[in-house]
Amino acid sequence: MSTRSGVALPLALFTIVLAAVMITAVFYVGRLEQRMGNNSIAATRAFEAAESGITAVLNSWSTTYSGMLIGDTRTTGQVTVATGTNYTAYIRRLNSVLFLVQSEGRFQVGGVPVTRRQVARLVRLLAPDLSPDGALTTRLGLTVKDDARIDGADNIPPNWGFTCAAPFPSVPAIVDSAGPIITDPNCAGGSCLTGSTPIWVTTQARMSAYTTFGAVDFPTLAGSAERVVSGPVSGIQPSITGSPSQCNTGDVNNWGDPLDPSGRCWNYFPIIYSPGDLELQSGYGQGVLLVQGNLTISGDFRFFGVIVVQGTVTTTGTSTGRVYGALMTASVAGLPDGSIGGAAQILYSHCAIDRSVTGASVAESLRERGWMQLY
Amino acid sequence: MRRRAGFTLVELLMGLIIMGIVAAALTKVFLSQQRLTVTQVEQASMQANVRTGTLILANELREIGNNVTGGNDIKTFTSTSLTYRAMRSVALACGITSGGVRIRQNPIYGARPITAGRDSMLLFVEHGLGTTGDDEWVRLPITGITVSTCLTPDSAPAYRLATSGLPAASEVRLDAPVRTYEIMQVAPVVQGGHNWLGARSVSGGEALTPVAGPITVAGLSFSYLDENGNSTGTRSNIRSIRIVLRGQTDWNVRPGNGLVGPSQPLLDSLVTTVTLRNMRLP
Repeated sequence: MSTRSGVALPLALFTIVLAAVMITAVFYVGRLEQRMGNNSIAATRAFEAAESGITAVLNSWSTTYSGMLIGDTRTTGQVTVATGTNYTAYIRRLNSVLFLVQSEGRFQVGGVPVTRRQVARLVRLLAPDLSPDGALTTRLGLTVKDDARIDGADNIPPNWGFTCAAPFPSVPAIVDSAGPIITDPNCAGGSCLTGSTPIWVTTQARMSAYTTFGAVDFPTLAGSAERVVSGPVSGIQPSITGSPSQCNTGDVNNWGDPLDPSGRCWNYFPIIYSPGDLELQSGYGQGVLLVQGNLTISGDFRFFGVIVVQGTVTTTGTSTGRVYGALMTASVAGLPDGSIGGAAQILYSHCAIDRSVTGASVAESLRERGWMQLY
Repeated sequence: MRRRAGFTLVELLMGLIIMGIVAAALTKVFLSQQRLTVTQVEQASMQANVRTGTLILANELREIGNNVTGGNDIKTFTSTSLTYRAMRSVALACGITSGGVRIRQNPIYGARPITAGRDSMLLFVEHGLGTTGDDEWVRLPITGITVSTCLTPDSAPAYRLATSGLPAASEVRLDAPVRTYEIMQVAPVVQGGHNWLGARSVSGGEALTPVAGPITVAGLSFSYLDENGNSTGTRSNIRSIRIVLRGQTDWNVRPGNGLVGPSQPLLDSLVTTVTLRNMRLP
């Protein structure tokens, strides 16, 4: 058999190798381009996730953030916004009114972050201008009867001495715009009304005083409420959760802890909103209570802070229900006059007002230069 | 007569012709593939450059605040050039003394250390606590930086930023934010026979340096839009900036499959609109 020589085989092999190299190069370039495109998409998604973290924190601003100590940091934990896209936001209190909300957005593939972007926003606390001029402010008529007491002296609540300044000057027991204040025989001569003066009639108690609090209005405050309640309410008391224990702000019956300074809920001042009538029967809490309808305090309920009622207020019963702070009742025209009766005590407290209003502050982005990109 | 094996002249010629045709076809395929590869590599590179340039510009311009306290961040603006304040870091003030602002060493959020002379600062002044209407950012030069301590009980490590024209210490709250910035300019620049997207630190006294490209001769253009998305030439009305970046390949390449058409640079463009995030909120 003769040996046949030729170039066909080497030529074919050479051609195949060369073609393979070319095709590989084309695939490589294509893959490179695809990856660059994917990276752009991933970066955009991470950035948008970070932005959504800021927005989410601002939209669901918790009064627990308002109660944070200066320098403290809280986190939302990792929040998933879409498949493979999530953010973690951190809320750091800078000073008494400023917070830095920092959000890291991530785009993940197979659970591993491939892109991270960080943005931040400076947030300012806007405290409602709730500084009532008296222990009880009313717009229309009111009856004070039984063993009720309204005191305009600056009362420092029990156990609050360490955190309150020296008592401020007394204010009137009742600030009234027009309606007659009727006191029953037990309160003859206004003996149940103490303070700088029993009753101060002023036009300051007009309707807007109950709906507009400086830069914040009633609906805005109500919209920030952490508790929405109505009807009869009892058993309000602080609760804790977890280990180490922390204030259980998820408990609807937890309205903070005004009695125990070492308690986890001592600095928790929720905004509580009642869209209709509300009857407080037992328990205790603190914060800012907004009532769209009428308020009744029928038992030994104790509240520390500010109560704003669009309707009328009625207190009844022999148990001593107490309000430390101030109570404002707009007594909308057409409703029967309110009455402070039973053994209720409305005790003006500058400190309770101050702490609850600070805790109930509304957060808003800094008006200018509040947004920043972090590296 | 003995028979001798071999090819006839005709067979040999036929073989050579066939081999020539095959070789020519292969060469054409190889050249086509090579040019296609070169074209694609160039195109990918060009697109990456345009993306990078757009990303740089968007990141720089997004933090601009205009018509706000502390002065406008947009200094000069044309259709091909923009001079602006570029935010560089955020820190927290922990003490005001005569001629100096102390900032905490930790945290400082920034891409690079603060540089005296090159950087200036904006200090947040609260004034009244009950209103946001009087809040303002006060612009201050940074004339020097020294290591110091905070005027706080813990005397935390700080930097003292020497400055002048400080507001009263009583008006600056502890841990008030401080933003540092430098004046930057972005504009086209020619280098090595190509046009590039260039950038320079005006406050740092730098010359324009290419940062992305190459781009076409008119490869960078800015449009300034008001709150309704209409073009505006009034600085105080600018709410967003539309950036058009037109890139081109480094080398001339044949378009399409690499075989037809004249050899020329490939062109591509990217348009993005950046909303200024630090405008005054209503």
